[in-house]
Amino acid sequence: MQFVQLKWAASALRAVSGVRRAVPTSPPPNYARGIGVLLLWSCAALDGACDPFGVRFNDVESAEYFEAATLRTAQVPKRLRIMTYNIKFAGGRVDFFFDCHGDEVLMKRDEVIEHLEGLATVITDYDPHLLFLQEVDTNSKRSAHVNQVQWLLDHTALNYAYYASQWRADFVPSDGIGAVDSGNAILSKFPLHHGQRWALPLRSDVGGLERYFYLRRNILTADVDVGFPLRVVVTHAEAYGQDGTKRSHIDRFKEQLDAAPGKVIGGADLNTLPPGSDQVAHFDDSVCTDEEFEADDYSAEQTWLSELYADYTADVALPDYQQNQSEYFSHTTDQSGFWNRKLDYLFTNLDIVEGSGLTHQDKAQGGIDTMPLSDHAPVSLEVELP
Amino acid sequence: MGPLLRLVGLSLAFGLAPRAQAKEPRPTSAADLAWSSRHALTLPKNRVDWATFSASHWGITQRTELSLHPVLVFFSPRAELKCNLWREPGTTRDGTLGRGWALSSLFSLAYPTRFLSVVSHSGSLALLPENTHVPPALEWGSGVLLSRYLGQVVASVRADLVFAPHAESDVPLLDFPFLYQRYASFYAPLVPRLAALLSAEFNRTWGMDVESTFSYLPIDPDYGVRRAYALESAVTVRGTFARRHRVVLGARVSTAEYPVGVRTHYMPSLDYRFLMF
Repeated sequence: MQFVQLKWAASALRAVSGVRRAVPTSPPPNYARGIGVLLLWSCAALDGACDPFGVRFNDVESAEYFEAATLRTAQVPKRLRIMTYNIKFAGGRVDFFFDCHGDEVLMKRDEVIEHLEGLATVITDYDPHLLFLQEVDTNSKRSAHVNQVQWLLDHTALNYAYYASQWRADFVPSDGIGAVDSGNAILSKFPLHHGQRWALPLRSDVGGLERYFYLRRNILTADVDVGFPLRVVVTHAEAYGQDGTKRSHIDRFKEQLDAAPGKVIGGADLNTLPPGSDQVAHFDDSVCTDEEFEADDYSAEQTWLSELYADYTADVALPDYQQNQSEYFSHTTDQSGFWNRKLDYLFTNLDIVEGSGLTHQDKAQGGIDTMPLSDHAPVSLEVELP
Repeated sequence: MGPLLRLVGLSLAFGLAPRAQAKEPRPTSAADLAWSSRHALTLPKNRVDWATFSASHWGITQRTELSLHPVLVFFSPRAELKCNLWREPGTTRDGTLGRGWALSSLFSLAYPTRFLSVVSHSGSLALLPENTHVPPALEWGSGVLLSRYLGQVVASVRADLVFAPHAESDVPLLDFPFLYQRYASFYAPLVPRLAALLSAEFNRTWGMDVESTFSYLPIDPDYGVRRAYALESAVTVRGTFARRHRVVLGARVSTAEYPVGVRTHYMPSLDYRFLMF
């Protein structure tokens, strides 16, 4: 097997980890790689016929349901507090290999619990009635197989949850990642029904082998029992596709909001910037050096969220964002810097409580320093219930 | 290399193995037990059963057989010695299997550190993280193999114990299918295994093996699994051509309890073997 082909396989499998990393510094012996790639190519060749590592999903299927070990009574309020949070699989600010800030791959159980406790503090402090999560692990080697959805249910005031995996494999043969099960979740104080996982298009700009192990993103929907039909929609859009996949994910997210029978709340990490953002490329926390493309270049995506902002009320109105953009930034890979772009959103057709939209960046904004807890800051909003 | 291997083999055979209870029988014919097998009888002296994708076998003495993988030995070193302790005279007859019992002892020595280190790197096919530090470890194995010969069919039972003492380490669990149970001794104080095997010789050309191995894996609970196990079964069909060439086709299935839960995986197998006299 030519080295150039193996290098392709290496770069392809890097993307499975969710971001990007540097070129491997110590490749394995060629015969070992040859045998391994031959086995993996066999799987790709039988793409339609076999699923040896259990990665596939149906187009539409029921979401996984969880309940807190102890259910707490919750009264339906006049105002609903909602939060969306990409928790980076309770990885905190560990210098994982995929951000090119370090070489860590796996966490110990104590580490994961410590990070979850920090996340629970933020969640409990705001006390949302609905919590939307992205990048939450339920059974991954990298997070010591802790079921983070169940853990948060048992350590916050939330009672019910639906979970939809977007990356599941018995074993990911790359970088020592091993088994993984990670995805989106809806947590609620009130009963949830009809949780469904809607498969999103896969990237078409990668080969069969990479596509087999790559993320299989989804939209998670459910109905919340608050006395009237309330649909909740959660997603985590594609980050790296150069084939229009991200745009299709954002469009399908809007389609799900549009398809709701009545009132709807959507929360998402859309991996793109609001229209009118001042900086759209060359962010100072991009340190990986071997990227085939610059994933942090949003220049071509300026209008992608326009329809969402036009048809729904967001956590922050577009004019307000455009006037004070840094207040709403919710992502950075570099914990020694500050949040440098807004990727996380809440949209609804309910009436929002004026001025309630908040990005919980630090003690001055939100009351708790969230920088050590994830590479995303949570975004929250209050809505008036009819 | 030949004299050195003989020295190693003989040292293991006579230094570690219990002595045979009876005198070595005279070989009956050149085709007497031509091929190595998974049952208790061994290759005749000096015969080599060379395999492409599995371990090769060498008859060191009339009752001792050494197994080594010709390629994998460089990044997953492992040797196994099968010593035929006792067999009834009728177990082989004019080059075919007869009737009777046979008993062999088994000894294995492996160096799992090499493989665990090879698969610890960055990028594709890395089964363990790059920053994994694998301490030196020698895996010792010992077992017995009892076979009952019924003419065309052989039924065998095999019991093994393996352990791989090493310095305290932080090596992540190797939970890749099929490798999981093979390297479990690195993560557990002791791994006992019990196997049942059925071999059938349809004629001089075709034969079949069915084997099932249960491994109890008392892996350290810190790895997220308690009292794990693995049940691996294999079915192979053998075709022998021109007496010295053999093609083996088969399939393996492994059901094991991993930290993620119980999972079942399948793998095809293919091998080409030939005899060297």
